[in-house]
Amino acid sequence: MSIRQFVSEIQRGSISAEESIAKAIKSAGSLNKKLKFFITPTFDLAARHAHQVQHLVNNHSDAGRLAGIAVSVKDALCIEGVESCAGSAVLKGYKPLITATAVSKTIASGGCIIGKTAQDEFGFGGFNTNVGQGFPVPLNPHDSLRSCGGSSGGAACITSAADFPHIAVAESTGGSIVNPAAFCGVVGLCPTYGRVSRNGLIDYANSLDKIGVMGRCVDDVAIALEIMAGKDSNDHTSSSVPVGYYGSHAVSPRRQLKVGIVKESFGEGVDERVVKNVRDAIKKVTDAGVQTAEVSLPLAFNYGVPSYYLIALSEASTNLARYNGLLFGATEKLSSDSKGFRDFFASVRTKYFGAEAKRRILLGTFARMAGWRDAYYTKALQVRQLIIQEYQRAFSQVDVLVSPTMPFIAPKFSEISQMSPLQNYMADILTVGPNLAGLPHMSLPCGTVEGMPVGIMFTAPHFREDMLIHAGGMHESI
Amino acid sequence: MQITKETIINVAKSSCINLTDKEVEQFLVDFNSILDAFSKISEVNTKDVQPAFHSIEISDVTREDSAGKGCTQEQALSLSKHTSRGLFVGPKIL
Repeated sequence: MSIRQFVSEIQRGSISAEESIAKAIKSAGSLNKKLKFFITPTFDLAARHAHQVQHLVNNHSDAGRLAGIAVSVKDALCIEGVESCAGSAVLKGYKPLITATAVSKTIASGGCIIGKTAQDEFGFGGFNTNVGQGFPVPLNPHDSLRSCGGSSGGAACITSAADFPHIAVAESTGGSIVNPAAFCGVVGLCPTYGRVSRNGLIDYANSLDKIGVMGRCVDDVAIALEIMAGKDSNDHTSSSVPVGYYGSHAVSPRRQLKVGIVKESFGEGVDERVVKNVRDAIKKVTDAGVQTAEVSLPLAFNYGVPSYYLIALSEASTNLARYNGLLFGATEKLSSDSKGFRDFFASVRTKYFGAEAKRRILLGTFARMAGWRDAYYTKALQVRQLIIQEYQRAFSQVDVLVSPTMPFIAPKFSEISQMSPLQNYMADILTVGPNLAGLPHMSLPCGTVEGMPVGIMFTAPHFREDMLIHAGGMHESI
Repeated sequence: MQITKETIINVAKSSCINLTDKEVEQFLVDFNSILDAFSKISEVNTKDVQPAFHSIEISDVTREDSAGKGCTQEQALSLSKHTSRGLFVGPKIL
């Protein structure tokens, strides 16, 4: 049952929010033992939210467009009083004083917060295997020997496995929503940069972080995005561009979109079976009368990965400078014979950051250092400018772009362990372009290979989430 | 460009992270392969191109200079294990 239908039943009183959430808690608890998608379950909170929803329904009040829906939240988003670590041991014990704006909005719309989901430490990974010390690696519901993708792996895992009405609030910096959505066979939508407030998000890279959503169908994510989007005085980078009625585009998709097929995304390095699934899906929409054209994005494909990583790691290295064991999070004992503040801070950071976090901090610090800054960080920002312009030229010819989401199906953990850090980074080649340019993009299920889901990705111009949802609805209905 | 062990050690020091000799060796290999691949961006002609610090236009915002709701001293201190008499306690500086 879609969220739209379920909420309608809740409002009518034919389904009890409290009973429904009680069932969801039981099911999520059982599934989590097997799949490890939660870092922190918040079952008591979900029950309290459900009680509030039921109270409104009983009083014939509007309980909201997510009334009685279980909502999971990526660990990087703060919830007041709930341990929020962004998957890092350095934030162990941190219970924020605020709730992220995006999460507050889902609660105000009747969402019931069921748990904080697993992720790579601070979002530093594409397979959810770069987890902080003591944090879970979620297992793909389609094959437990395979990754869920990352960094929002837990969000995709629960969205795929849940047998109850659910949406996941997730976050993307370089592909962390669409990547796991593709690997787990769910719908993942990453909006335009600034479309959803980042207030209350534990930062990875400020100029790239976007909060988005995962669900089981396009209409579910469209409704959730509509609720979370909008200007927020607590985030000056949030946009005042009016929020559209996104849900209406999912249920009555137009057919007159012109779709640009990204030439490079079907080339070398992309599994031929993935290519075939996506090409077959494109043929279906073409047969249904949708106009298509080939589009080339050479800059995004040749230089997107280095440009993205140099910017992301530079920003991450400054963001993570704040974790020093003094004001919040994990710490060490302060002793009278300690050598001084630098040694204390270094001892905390060395002990609690994971290997990939250290690698990224070091690389980002290097890229910003005098002598290297112009060649790496500044150059990457200039390349980003050219990539944004390249996308703008493409969108002067077509309405949306289409490509595979990931170059392969979800890899096995045994394969991931053999990959070098550079090979890990290169796996993001199809997703970094839209993220670097801040463009809205969405992954949808597109058949299977070896029983594992394949993802098809649509990308739209800035703030044209309506077009993106049209395209998604079109793919879903054919 | 070849990165040296000294560069790794200096960067780690700037980052407030202690590395073992084994980690220095590993990061040296990683740095050289990653930066070699990333150096590819030098091929792009960026003459007269403005750096894109954001992907969309971001404008400065202002607000009334009035006190808003913030956390209390007690709340701020509640997040730390190192407090005394209403203050944070830090490592010695001198």
